[in-house]
Amino acid sequence: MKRSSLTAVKSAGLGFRMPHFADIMNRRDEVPWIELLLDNWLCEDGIVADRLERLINLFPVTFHGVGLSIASSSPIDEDYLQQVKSLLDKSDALVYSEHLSFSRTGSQFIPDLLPFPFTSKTLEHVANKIDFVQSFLNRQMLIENVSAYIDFPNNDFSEEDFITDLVKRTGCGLLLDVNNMYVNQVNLGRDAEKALKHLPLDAVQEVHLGGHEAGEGFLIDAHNNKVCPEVWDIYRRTINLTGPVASLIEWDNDIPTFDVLLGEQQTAQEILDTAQSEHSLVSSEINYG
Amino acid sequence: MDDKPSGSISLRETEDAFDALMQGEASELSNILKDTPIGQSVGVNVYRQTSMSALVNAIKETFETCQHILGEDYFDQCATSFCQLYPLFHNDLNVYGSDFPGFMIELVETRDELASLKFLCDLSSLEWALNEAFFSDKKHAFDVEKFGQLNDEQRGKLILKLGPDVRLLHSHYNVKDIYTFHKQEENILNERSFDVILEEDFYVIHRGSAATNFELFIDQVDAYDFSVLSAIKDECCFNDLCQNFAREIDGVMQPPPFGDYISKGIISDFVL
Repeated sequence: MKRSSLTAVKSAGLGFRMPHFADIMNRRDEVPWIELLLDNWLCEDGIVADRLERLINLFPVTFHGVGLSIASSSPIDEDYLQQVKSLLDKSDALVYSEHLSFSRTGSQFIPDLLPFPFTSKTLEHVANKIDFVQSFLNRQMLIENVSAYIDFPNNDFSEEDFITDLVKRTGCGLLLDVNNMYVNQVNLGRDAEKALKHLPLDAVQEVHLGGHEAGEGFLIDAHNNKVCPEVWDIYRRTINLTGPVASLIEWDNDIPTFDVLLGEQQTAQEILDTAQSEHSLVSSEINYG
Repeated sequence: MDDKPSGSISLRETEDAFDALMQGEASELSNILKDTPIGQSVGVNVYRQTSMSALVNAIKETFETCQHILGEDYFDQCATSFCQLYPLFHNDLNVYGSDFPGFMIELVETRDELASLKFLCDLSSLEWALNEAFFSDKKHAFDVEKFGQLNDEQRGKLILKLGPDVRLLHSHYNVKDIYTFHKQEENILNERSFDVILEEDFYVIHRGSAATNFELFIDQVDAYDFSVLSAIKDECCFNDLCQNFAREIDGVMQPPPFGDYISKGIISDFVL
């Protein structure tokens, strides 16, 4: 099975959104890699294919899916998965990631990343599906922790223990969204610091950073703002524990100017650079100290 | 699958509860949750609103001029009603909304305040056609050389193909003018009025010839061209097209102007 190859790109990238097409083509030297929302690029022809070709010729790309619905009770849609495979193969994708959630019910698609109970049965069910997907694609996939606004009673696992077991059972990688950890801390009373101690950080191959929207006493993971100070703090602590990891700025709604987006990306890069120099210092002390 | 240990909630139950939520019924989901710092009802409401607004936003983006005419608040109400009636059956929001023109027909027939806006049915059809044309497959240049190598018998039986982007629209209003007017921001900002004319209009919506960079065109054509292109869409063979649509020009019987259709990229292929 082909391992994810993003570990070699330990820099800050951008989630590409179509309004920035001209900007990113003109300023490609400022963006080390980009992430594409996989489900927007599945057309094999037409304008989508045309733009995809231009992007993959210029940038290393990762693909981030929302349509797999890995926690649905129904089987994986193999037609969809075949489309995913074709896209990943033709794009020479560094990574394929998906969410630990569902969006497909018995009768419809719901355009959201919906949570589910963390039980022994759901663990087995999701692990089997990840095995199936990785085998079908012949590559490792990354699973992302999602933001949530509700919680279920009688869970057998905490979110971090559920993820830890999934990684152990399937060999999948982890895409850690630190904004989602913070949103869940505020909304559900989960403890981001505690989660960091329990998650399998050696499996983290990518980190997502995004902005949220504040409601009255709760947060919505709207990806429509700058990354807040609390999330930058969680990010710094994460990078201190993992060492430099490919990191990505996501901004999906109320899309800002390209300069604003690059500013966020540069902040993430500075944190990575600091971690890299500290990491190098520690290494040299170990080697020569 | 049987994924339900005693006391816990199954995946199927969770899915059913979210299905009910999308139809406006929140209690099924609330009943299976535990309390959280923000409260169950707040959490459930966030899912209802974010999911519904994703669908409504997809409709607003596709039917932008309809929204301009109806105003954002009224259109939001209409779009929300539509989204509750028509669930998403595909995970690509770009192809969500094919039923919206039909929904508009029902709406203008049943709401008194829309009695003077019957053209919205045709306008929404135009906007959906533009959306389909935009996301359609890339077309290839018509193979003139291969066409020239066919003998008369082969040519007579062949079926011409419209480009994958081409959509035909028969309207009872000047919807191209209405659409163009509302795409100009200064007209909206200055609240300028526009003329709605009750007339038979025929349009071909397409992306031009293969070399163009995905620009959209709304070509107004006459009833003759529309009939020919409709017959091509219905897979009428080349001989029948020539016979059924021959017309006298300058005293000479002429076949339809296939060359014009090909040069504009409206006809892009043929099959034997």
